[in-house]
Amino acid sequence: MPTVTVCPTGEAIYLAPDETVLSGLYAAGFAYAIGCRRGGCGICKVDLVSGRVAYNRTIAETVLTADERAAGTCLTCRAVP
Amino acid sequence: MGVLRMGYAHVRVTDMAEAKEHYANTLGLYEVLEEDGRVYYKGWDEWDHHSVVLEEGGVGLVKFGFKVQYEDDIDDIEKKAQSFGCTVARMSEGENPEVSDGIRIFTPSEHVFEVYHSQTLIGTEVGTHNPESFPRHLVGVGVPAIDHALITAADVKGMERFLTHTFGFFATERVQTSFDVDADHIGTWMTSTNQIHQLAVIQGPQGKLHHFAFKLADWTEVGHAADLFSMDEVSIDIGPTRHGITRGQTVYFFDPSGNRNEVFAGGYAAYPDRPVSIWTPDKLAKGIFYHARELNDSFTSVLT
Ligand code: FES
Ligand SMILES: [Fe+2]
Repeated sequence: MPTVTVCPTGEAIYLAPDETVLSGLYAAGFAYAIGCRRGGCGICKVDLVSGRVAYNRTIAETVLTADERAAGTCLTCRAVP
Repeated sequence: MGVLRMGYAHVRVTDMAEAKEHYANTLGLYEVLEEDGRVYYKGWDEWDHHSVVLEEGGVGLVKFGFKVQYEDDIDDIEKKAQSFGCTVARMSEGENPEVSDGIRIFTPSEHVFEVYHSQTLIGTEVGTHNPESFPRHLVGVGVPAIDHALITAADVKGMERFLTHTFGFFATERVQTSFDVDADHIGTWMTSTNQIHQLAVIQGPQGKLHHFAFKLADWTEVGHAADLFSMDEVSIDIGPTRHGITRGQTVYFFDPSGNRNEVFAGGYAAYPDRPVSIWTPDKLAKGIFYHARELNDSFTSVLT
């Protein structure tokens, strides 16, 4: 089961297959700045400390740059662990 | 007469197939042309060739088109934009399919506004000869037409001056740091006609789109639109609710690429001699969302 661990508390959140990080975090009661939920506004970014996420949809380079991806920035509304 | 209305919005979408589903099947726009990776739409009650252009690749605004009544208006606006200090380029007929020649203004807010005097006339879906009130087989929301847009700019007061000088727009409502005459402007809602706003500008980054809106008739239609958004799993931002500013009834929602759309009904008749309504930051939340009266940062930071 895909798992997201929230720093620094270490709380583990279990996601359904293909569920986004944003969806899982919100379902578990976490709240942070989100906007379009469609990968367009870029506001829902969090730092990915370890692990990998996949993007099953096209993300505009202006929203999530290659450098950001490399640096571990995670666009949570489109990221699937 | 000068500027008649905002004639088209041209935006980028990350996935054209999903975007077509949204704009054609959920909103009910009529596809009129697909060419060179762009899809052109009109609403059922629009007579010109198109009002929405989608372009695959990226997200956010490419440009807006403003229609003027007479060919001569183009020269007049060109001079005014230049005297304001803007770069203006001539555009030839057909550069935009089915759109006349005109000019392309690079605005102080770093947006691109095209000004044109005609588009190929298609006619509304009900025609002009003993017309029915609406087409019988509308799809989804069945939006009749686009209405207005909201963009962000670093210098709102400057943009208000630009739009007044160049387009002959006047402000109907404003958000200011105070009621004082020398207050700073945080937002301005502007028009050239009785329509409550054709273009609004709020403080924010240069060149960004907050939303573009489609016209609806009343609360019932706004509620019905929201129902359809649930059916089609459209990401709803807020609403149905009312704006204090303009008194319009609204749903904000996002297209599948994250561009914000709105369905908008109502608003009172605008007149250039009507005193401007002014909102201050302490009441801004009520001005934007009249019922929730709460505004978080994402209202001004969620942009494409
Ligand atoms: S919420 Fe807009 S990009 Fe994720
Ligand atoms: Fe609006």
